[in-house]
Amino acid sequence: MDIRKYLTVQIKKCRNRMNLARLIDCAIVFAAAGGVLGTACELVSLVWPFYHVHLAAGLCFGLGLLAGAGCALHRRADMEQAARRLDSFGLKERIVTAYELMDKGVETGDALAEMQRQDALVHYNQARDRIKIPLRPDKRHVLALVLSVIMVAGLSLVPSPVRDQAQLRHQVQEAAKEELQQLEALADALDRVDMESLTEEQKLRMQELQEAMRRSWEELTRSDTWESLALAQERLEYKYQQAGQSLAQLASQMQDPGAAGIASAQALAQAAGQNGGGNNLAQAAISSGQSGNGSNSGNGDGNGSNNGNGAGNGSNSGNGDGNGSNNGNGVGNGSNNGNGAGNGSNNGNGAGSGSNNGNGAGNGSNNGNGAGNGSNNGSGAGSGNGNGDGAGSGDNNGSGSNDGNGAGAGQGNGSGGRGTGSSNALHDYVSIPNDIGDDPSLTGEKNGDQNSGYFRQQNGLAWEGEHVDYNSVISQYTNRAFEGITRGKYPSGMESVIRDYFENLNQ
Amino acid sequence: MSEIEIYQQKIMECEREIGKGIIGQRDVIRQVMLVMLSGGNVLLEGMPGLGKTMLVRTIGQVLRLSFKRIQFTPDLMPSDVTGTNIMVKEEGRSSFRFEPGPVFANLVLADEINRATPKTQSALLEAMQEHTVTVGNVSHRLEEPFLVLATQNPIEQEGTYPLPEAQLDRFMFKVLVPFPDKEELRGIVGLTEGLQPPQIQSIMDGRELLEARKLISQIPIAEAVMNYILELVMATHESHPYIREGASPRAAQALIRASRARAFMEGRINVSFEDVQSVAYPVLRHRIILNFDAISEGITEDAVIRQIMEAKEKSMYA
Repeated sequence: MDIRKYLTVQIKKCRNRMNLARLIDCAIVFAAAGGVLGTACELVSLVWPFYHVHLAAGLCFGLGLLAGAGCALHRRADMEQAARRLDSFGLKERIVTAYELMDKGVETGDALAEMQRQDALVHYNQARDRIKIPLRPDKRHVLALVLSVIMVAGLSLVPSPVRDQAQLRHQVQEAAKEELQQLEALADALDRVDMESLTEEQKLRMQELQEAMRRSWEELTRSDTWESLALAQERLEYKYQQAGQSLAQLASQMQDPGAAGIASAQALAQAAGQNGGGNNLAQAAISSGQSGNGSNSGNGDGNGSNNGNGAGNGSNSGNGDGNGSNNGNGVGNGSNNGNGAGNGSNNGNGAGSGSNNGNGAGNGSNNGNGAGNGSNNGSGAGSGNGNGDGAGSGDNNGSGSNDGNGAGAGQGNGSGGRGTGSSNALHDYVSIPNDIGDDPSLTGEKNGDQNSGYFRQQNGLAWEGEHVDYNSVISQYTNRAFEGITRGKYPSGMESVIRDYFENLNQ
Repeated sequence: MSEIEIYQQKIMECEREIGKGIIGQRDVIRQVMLVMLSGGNVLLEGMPGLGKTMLVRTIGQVLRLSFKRIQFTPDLMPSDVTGTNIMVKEEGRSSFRFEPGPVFANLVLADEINRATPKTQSALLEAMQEHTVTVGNVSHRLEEPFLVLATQNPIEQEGTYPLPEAQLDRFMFKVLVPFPDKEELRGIVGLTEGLQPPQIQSIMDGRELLEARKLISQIPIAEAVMNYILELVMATHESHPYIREGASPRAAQALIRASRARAFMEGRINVSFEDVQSVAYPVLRHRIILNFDAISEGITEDAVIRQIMEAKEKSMYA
């Protein structure tokens, strides 16, 4: 028998077994460490929104296992260590001495080395039965791993509103992805526009467009509820339409809009606006007709579609928006400086009321009725389209508008009058104050208790100042309002009201 | 049977034969044998009357080695140890002839070496180190094998000249000779006061002893064991709370030689950790210098050596 080969094989077997035992133990230790990290992740998810927490915890275990394998590989035993491990069973360094004499090729006198190997073989065979390299890992390590698994599993089952919030946010963000892609495509197209070929005013308009798109992008990415997503998409849809119109106007002013990149941007904006993606997504997300109630500066949004009803109540500076479509009713109530906006379309009714300095706006379209009531210095605006009625009333120094019927005649949109309470009349004049603010020529104290000078006109009350034709100022007012919408000047929930209001005025 | 096995058997027989003449003291006999096989010198420390002289004489008988005893006293001169030139008249002519001193023997027992003056001590120490004696400007080679067994009395320290550390370092082993227990004492009394003293037979001679030394020097040491030896010596130099000065490199050399000798006497052809641990005490106890804290707390050199070995035990099979 070749003693060298035999001893080498025995040492190799011992080495392989040692490395396997080390691998198992290291994997368990590092997996337990990963479990501690996973436990930390689960704990964090109870107080901070973390949607992928269970995946992260699992990854921690997995990474721990990998790290353990890496550690075992790094610290793997070599042949010399395996030989010493065999010697630890009472062989008194015979094996490691024999291995070193083989390994180094040192023959301290051939006879002496051979005798030493023979001696090592004899004693190895005598001790063979008691040489055991156990594979089982340290019990403490196993216990640590089991405990960490139990902790992670236990914490993952703990209910938490923060986790629910994280899940909701994730779902909302998933729903907004398509919209974001569309928006990014348009933003890229706008970025590719050749600004050098534009005039200063055109550049300014482009920059405003880009800024508006950027804000919408931020709004969409920040959305963490269905309601906020619906609002963001609604605003975006309007911006698409405005962008399409603005780009079309710009294109008409240019000789080669395609070369400047205007044409492609315009096409994208118009396509995005026609898709009505925002409305589809918003309605798909909240088509269950939930009613939302918000208090203490919260917002209540209720949307109902397809014969559903939407009711939104906002109190204490909150906003209540109710939208009803396709024969649905929308009721919005705002109190304590809150705003109420109710929209009804397709034979639906919209009713909005605002109290304590709140505003109420109700819009009914396509034979729907709109009723808006404002009390305690609030304002009420009601508009009816098609054959609907528009009713607006204001109490306690509030103003009421659109107190009349709109049915084909006159406005046909239920916007029968102006804020002076007159109805069924053509637009004639609007009062514009002569001076504003700090002008010294003003009579009366700015902060005094004297009333502004006013007089009674045929159509109602009018204030001193210049009187100009309605048509000369309405477009200016409309543009300013739409610019304000684009720039996000108005509180959420009011933009649609204002937009509808001015659209109706101009129809 | 191989040559090494033959010599291993002979050495074991020598050990048994020496044990016939010396009751008990198995460890002392073993350690002295180890020093002989390693080619070193040994310092025996023990009370008077424990058989130190008898031990050396018996070893001389078993190994057929010449034996001389020198009783060191304060008035002993160097020439009393090494020899001197004397004037002789031969064939009508006067000349100087070197008369060898008692150091010219295979085994030299330097009894109570700490009683002689440092000058006389140094004369013996030169012989121990170089195996030569220089008288005048002539060096005389000592016959091999040459072994000095020096003794010290641990209790009578008045009027003595303790060996300095540099000289102590030349002794391979410092062996503590314990007082025998009751049974051993009974045996001693029976042996010495009995009618028939034991017959001690010669097993080997000096030449065979030298051959055995050659074989022992070839015994392989594994890298792990070598590292262990070096770590032990280095540990005496690391910041230890009780050690003022650590062991010199001679300690590492002594550990290696003594470990090989022990492995040989155990019937192995390789050095093990156990061999190193067994010889660590006699090799290191006279080479480390304890500080005042250790002395005041009654900590001995052996206790410190034990601490060091326990600390290094994990690295043995790591």
